[in-house]
Amino acid sequence: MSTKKLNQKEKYRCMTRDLDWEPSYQTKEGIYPFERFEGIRITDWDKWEDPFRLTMDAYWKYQAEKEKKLYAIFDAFAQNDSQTKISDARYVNALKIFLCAVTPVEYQAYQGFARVGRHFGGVGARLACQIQAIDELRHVQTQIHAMSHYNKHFNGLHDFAHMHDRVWFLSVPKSFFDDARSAGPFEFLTAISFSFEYVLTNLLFVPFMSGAAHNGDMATVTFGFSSQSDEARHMTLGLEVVKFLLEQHEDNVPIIQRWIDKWFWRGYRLLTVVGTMMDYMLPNKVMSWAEAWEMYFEQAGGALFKDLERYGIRPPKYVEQTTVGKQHISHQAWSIFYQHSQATNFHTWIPSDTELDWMSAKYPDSFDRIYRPRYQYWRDQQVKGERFYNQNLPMLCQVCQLSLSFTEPDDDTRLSHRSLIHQGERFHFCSDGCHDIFRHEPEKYLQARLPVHEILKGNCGGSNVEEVVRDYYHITSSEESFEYLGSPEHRRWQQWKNDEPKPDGDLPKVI
Amino acid sequence: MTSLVFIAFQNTDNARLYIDAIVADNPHAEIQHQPAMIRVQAKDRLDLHRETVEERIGRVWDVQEMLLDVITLGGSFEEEEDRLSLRWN
Repeated sequence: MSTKKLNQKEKYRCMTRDLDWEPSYQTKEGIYPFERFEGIRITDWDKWEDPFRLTMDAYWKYQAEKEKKLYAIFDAFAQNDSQTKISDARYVNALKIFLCAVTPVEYQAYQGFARVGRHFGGVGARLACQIQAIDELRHVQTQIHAMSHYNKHFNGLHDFAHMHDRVWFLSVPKSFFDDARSAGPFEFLTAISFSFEYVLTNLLFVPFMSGAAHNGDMATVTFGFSSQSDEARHMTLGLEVVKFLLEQHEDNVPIIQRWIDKWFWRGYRLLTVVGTMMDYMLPNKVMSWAEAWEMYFEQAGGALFKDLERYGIRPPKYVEQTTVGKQHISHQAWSIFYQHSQATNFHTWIPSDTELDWMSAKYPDSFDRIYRPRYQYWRDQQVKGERFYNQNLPMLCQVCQLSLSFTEPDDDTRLSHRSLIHQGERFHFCSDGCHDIFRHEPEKYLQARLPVHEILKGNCGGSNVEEVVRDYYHITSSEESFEYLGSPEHRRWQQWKNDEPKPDGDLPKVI
Repeated sequence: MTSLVFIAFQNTDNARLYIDAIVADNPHAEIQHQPAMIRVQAKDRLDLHRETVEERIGRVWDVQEMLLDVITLGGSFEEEEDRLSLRWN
């Protein structure tokens, strides 16, 4: 008898679906207790389709090959002293945000998928979650390894896990994933696999990483694209998850729609920080945040939601506000960081004239009218020796935990501020989107741990910002915080470059 | 409004062959070069045939090898023995 090789579909069936068994002495409800409480109805798990028919053996083979390529590049990067060959030391400040904000949420994603994978009755879903959990753990590890080289030469990278749990602006990504992980398993998948992975992660891992390459950082672009090669699978899975849930039962449609509305808005707010990294922290530019948003959300998301129409799904609520917001949010967030730089593990600065001109060209409707005059004023203050730091603690949104610094969608000169009273207490929000999220689940968000409130309550190891930054955040502010110009890191960079003036030497000469 | 599908690869030797194959199979595809990556977009549909890649790569090629070089994609993805396809219905 000839031995016939299994084709991909048969191999996939034998090595995944066939591994499942019918329980004999426990009920399915007893084994998967979280499958019903969210209101999602699954009638047939066998309808679950995996677009990539990846079996464990093929998975290990391809992942091992990815790792070999990746670590060869890390070694080459270090051996070649490539930290001295990046475009400018200001760029590394984006990596400080990345390591403290993104890497720990990759770990949260690992924990989340490991947990929910346990709770699905369908073997296809369980296997997909298992593979994704391992992927996410790989991302954490490769990112830490890539950054450990930078940590030898730059400040602010030394205690990222500690900072992630404590530093004020890092509560934005932390609370996002805490929110997803404390939801039920189907909401977690809709939040992370669909809304985040499918709709939004491209914006971080594609144009920003391409920008890293353009700034001479081969280590970061390589871990970024290596992670993103896994994400391509995750995104595909995310789309299939949502289609599967929508096809299972019509009762699922309004539940999924509400989750899409919520998690799109949560993701959009979270990505504000990425917008800032792209527009302000990549000295060599690839594309603006607005252009990336157009390519990866408006164009790609437009096609996606057109495709989902037949299930009765409409584009996320308040999506039209993001079309206005793309002209503003990166500048608004940079302004937040600039004025609160005394409490960050990275430096800020006023962009050079060349960079300001680039932003004027990329943001013709907003930049010259609103943001350029602000930067000009701050730069003038700086030249006078009065570099602006805001001595007040910012007011935070109860849901996204960003400072209330965004403007109204229909009036970009007015602060957007919503509030409501719940059980006698007033809560504040940055937007209609965050307001609606709270109103739907007040019991969840009234528990939010807002960093500013905790400082004022005396829970952060000190009575003033200086003590909190030093003792609670583990930030040595004389090294890591404040203005970039004249910082120890700036001076070190100049020494590496033998004090060569930069070709675009138009940064203000200020110490 | 027409819907665009897209796929992006790391700018590697393999990916250059894939792009070459995609262009051969999809005359309507548009190629965009960005630092360290190549992005291909097309109206409604993109296919990558195993045979077209094998002609260029000069060896047996498993469609899943594409996973090593892909960065991202947009559209409904389908993997067959001899073909990968992206489309919006």
